[in-house]
Amino acid sequence: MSTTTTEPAAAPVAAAGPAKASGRGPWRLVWDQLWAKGSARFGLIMVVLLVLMAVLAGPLSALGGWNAEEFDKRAVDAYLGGLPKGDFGGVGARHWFGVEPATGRDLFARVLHGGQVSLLIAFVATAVVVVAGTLAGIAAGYFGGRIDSLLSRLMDLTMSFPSLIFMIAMMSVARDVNRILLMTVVIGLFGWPGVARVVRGQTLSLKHREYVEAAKVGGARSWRILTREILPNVSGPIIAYTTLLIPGMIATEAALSYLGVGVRPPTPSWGQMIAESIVFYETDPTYFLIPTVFLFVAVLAFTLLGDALRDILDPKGGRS
Amino acid sequence: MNRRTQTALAAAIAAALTLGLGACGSKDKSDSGSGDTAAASSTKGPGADTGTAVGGTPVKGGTLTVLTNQDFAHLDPARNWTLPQMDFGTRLIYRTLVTFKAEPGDAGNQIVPDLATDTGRPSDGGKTWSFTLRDGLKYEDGSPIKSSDIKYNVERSFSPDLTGGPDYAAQYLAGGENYKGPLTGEHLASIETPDDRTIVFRLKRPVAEFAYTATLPTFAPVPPAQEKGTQYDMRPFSSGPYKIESYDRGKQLVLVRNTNWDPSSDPIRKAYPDKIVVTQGLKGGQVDDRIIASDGADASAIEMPWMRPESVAKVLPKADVKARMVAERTGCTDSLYLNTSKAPFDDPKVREAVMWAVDREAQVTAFGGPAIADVATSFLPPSLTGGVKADPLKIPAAGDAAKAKDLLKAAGKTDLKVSLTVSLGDKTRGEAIQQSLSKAGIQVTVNTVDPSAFTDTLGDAKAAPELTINGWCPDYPSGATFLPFLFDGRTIKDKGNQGNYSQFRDQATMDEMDRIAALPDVNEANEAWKKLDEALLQKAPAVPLMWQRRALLVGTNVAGAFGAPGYAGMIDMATVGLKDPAKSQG
Repeated sequence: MSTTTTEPAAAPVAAAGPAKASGRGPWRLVWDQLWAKGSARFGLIMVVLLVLMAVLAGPLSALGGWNAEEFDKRAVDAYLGGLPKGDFGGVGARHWFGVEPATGRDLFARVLHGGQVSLLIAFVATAVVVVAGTLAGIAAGYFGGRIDSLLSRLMDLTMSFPSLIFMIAMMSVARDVNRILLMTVVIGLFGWPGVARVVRGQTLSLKHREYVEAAKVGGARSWRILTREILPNVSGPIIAYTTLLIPGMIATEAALSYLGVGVRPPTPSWGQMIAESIVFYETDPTYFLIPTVFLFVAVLAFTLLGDALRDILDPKGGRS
Repeated sequence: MNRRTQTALAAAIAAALTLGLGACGSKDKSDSGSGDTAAASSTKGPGADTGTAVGGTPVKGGTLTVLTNQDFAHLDPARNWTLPQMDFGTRLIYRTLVTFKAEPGDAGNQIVPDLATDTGRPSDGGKTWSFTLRDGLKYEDGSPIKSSDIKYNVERSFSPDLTGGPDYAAQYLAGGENYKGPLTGEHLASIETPDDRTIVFRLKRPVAEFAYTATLPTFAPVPPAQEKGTQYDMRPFSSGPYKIESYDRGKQLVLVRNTNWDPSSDPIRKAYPDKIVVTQGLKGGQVDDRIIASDGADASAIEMPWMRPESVAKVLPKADVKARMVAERTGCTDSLYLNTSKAPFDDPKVREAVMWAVDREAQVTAFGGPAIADVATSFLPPSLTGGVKADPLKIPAAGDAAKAKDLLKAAGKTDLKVSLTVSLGDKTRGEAIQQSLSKAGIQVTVNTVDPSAFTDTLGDAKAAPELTINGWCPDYPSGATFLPFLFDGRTIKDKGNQGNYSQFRDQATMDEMDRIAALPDVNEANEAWKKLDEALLQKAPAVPLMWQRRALLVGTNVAGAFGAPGYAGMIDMATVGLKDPAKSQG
């Protein structure tokens, strides 16, 4: 997850370095406001928990005693169409969250590993989107003219493209490619114009500010102005936007997996688990409930956190 | 706000604690062996057993409803080659020279004369077959059924306009190579009708099981006066117990009694209901749910063409619903095909190891359990081996990973990486293969392909994957409609390859197939096919996985329902009827 925030955050932290020593730095202020807000605190804690769970999926599921791919014939009743034995989809000491019908794979292990895939794709895709979007936006806004019109038309083009259909087509055509990488690239490809537009708008309003003019007069080159003067000032909206992008990415990954163009079996992902549990909704609702709850909590937590961050870092954008 | 977050935190901590505690309690899981599952599969599974009918003997009268999610592909007898149409057409609307006995269990695989007085008289070493029609046979308008009408329909099956039907007539009949059907006014000289009740077929080569071929809808009568070309599909002229009253394609088909059908001339069809209404285009799950509930007219309903495997869990726990499920063997064998044209499966030792490694029990569970599938022990299904399971290799149903590992080591092939292509719906089965092969040290990558693209993906012989799962069903109970389609090396095509997905070319096998095809005696041929089946299992071009059963539900008011082995386990339409006709007008 760190990849998404360090890049834009690096500059302001460095800039705020001396101020921090003397008192409360701007990031400390952000943290305080965030922690003071109940919903944001809940979001933050859940995000940290989910990320920990995903990162520690291997060791955690080893605690449960099963890996995500191991079949357990004893946990399902073959004579009942492979339904889990026991109440609530086989929840118990042997399988904490129950098992998948027909195969008997441990749902605890699968939901953790599924989170790993879902969150990894969401974070990396978001990083791709944010980096590409920021670069394009800042370039379009600062340099203007031909570069601006070229990049802006490209943004319009990408935004008006029927992205989901294209993604499905891409995923079915490219069969022998690493699915996680492909999903990341495909999702990232269609997300960047959103960020780019926000950044371009901010850059446009910033580039005529006095301190930017002053830096120009002082002989600073474009690179320095962009990285030292403009980027730190657009980083607030970028961070807020990033946090709000993640739930969308999780949902897109789930949607693609749901449509059957997701990761390769037997690797689980939340979307895939939900898609497979649909046919069992009457006979084994627990199977449906578990990945759904995880997906719901993840999207909710990121949305709450993102909302709070936007209120703090980008109050104008929040009100509009 | 504050309180809420604290509760959330507390809950999270509690959850973490329980996880930790649970971990201490359940560390001893290493006993995940298949010991007790093996024992379970030896006991008899629930579901309708082979040889019984649901609901007892029906009473004459009433309206039988058929609920289905699809439309009939073709009802024209020259074009009818798929189920459930074959069962529906030949049992209700038209009669054929020979047909299957309308009895549950293995008896249903036997053939009996229908329009003919016997099951055909071969002469000239099986190259000439003659049939004599019964006396007094009539169409729905009262006109007599003539032997020339059967000749006419067999000729129609050659017509390029009338697609989709069985091509056995074209394969077997002499002089059929360039014949283009009777629509142009030409007739085929190799079918003779010396009088109105006699028909003689002259074949290219001896065909011992031609009597079985004569059960196909191709051998039903069509009077030339009723010819409507492709439009005949909409309303076939009836020679059976029912005629079509109305047919709105994709919505509803209504059959009423054919008053000119004489029950004394037809020992097979019982024709219990007065009326049969087929409601088409319903959703699959909806059909199952409606018959489980059996409200009103649905109590007198049966379904086509499958019960969804997911519905198994809704049916089996309820004894009253379970008693209404039929599950006859389809006669098809699902196999894991090993691509023998390239490494590593060009090595018979590696193929043998896979044979031992595959967990067939997991395949059955993934498909819906022993109630709707059986572990396969040979390529030929029991219907082709005299009703008994052939099990020459005696490999445990759950596989033997240790033995497979040893075999691989002996072959000097370890750390194998292969890919498996399955249809999207078979993902779980693919994962089960992956899991069982990984225990033997073979790493499998599973590719799921959309069903519409599946056949094309496999058909490209050069780009075909190492492994694939597919099934094959015989057209009638004879090894001749089975093994040659799967393992005859001469059938392999570069594009559009079908059947021989193993790309298995073995001279000894091909020679034996030719020898058996030329045998004049059916029983001798059947024995020879069984021997060849055993030899093929040793060579292991594929791994037989399971024999599917066709699970079908019937309503509470339905009687005489059983899966017909001759029609891949479809409910035999010849004998199904109602318990209480008065209740059927819901």
